[in-house]
Amino acid sequence: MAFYYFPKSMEKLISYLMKLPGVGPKTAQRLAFHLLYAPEADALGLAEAIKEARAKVKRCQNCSNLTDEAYCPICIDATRDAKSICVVEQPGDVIVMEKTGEYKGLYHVLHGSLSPLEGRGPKELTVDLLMKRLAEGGVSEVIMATNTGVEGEATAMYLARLIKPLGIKTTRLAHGVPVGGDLEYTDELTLARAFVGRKDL
Amino acid sequence: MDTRAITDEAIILRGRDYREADRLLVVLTRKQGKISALAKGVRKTNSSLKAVTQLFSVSTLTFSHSKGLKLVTQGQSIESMRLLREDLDKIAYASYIAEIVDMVLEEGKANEQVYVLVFTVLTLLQAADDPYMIMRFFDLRMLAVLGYRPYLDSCVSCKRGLHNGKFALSAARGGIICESCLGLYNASPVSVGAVRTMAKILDSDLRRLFNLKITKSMREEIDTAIANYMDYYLEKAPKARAVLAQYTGLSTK
Ligand SMILES: [Zn+2]
Ligand SMILES: [Zn+2]
Repeated sequence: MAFYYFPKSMEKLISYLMKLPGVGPKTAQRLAFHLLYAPEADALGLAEAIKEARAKVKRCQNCSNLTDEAYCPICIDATRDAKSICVVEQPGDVIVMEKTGEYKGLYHVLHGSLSPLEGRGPKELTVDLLMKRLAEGGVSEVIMATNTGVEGEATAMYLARLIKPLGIKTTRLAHGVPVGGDLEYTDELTLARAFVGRKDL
Repeated sequence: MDTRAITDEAIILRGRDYREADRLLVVLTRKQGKISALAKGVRKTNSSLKAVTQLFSVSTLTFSHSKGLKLVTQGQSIESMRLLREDLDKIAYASYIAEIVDMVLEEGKANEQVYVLVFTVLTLLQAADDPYMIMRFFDLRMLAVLGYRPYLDSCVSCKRGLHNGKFALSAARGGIICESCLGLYNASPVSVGAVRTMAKILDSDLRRLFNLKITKSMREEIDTAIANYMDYYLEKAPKARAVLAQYTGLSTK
């Protein structure tokens, strides 16, 4: 018995879509059909946007947040308080923090959290870059705003161990962020409260 | 396929973020053994399953089946293991335990002995000032439960007694072996004191173990011997062991 397969080019598209997080074979097929039938400008616009983002987006040389330039807008904003650094796991967390309007300092994006179980150690994160920033001086407080699950807590505790000997105050967002809460899903009011109630590590 | 819901005591061994707000968990249950299950929406602030899906926490969980995947639908906390989750070193120790259990157990194969061992060890870790004994207790008892208990009474080959000569622990031979029988086997040298301590860890009542005094050099000897022995059966070194070394080298004390 002969089987009918999708055209080769479509199989190729499906196989790339399946590499996306959370996309299984059925979803990949549906997305592939969608892209084929969508207006050409939309489908090719997507391809172009991917290309452009890949070419332009890089990590800020100071804080590792994503940016189109060498430094991100926050790092070059002279009105921000350079004495304070808020450490977050993902670039998305910076956006969430900024929405609270409570924080006027700078950030540092780790691009992940420590996980002994998954073999993710400090070298997989931007820890060295953070330590370099701190060694340059001028920072008086580091606020740990990692997620509150075990991995986020471990990351905060690990960094506190590294930073304490430098004589820099390390605090942790305290009240309001529920155990296991991802910052991305914490509403802005609780987060704003968490900023006010942060505690020493 | 069984479509009924199952309720069982469960320890969260590992978890990774999945899709927007879900976590894919590996849990060790008392009656069903190790199982993988999806916890939906638990990364949202208001999820009722948030507390019971935290790493290392112990809860009564209800699982339902959906398209071949188990879903966590309800949970009631038994022990949050909060003290463990608030301590960096303890997180690393617990991660090591979870990784090994995940490595050695087959999915869906019940093993209540392992469940009880892991529950005991995590509970003890919470309160421990010095986790050394608890960790080696876990290593050796885990080997025993899996059927790899090292033979420590005499040389596995010639039966020469402990009072007499030098010994090494050989995973390939399943126990201690004397210098003259060692031949080309790979083995870690162990003093008689270290062998006796390991035997005690395997057989004594837990409470008595914490009174054992062991020197730093004997600790190192036992660590290396057991690590080599375990890696032989695990077929690879657990990742958490390397991370553990990184963390504990950074103590604030
Ligand atoms: Zn920046
Ligand atoms: Zn012998």
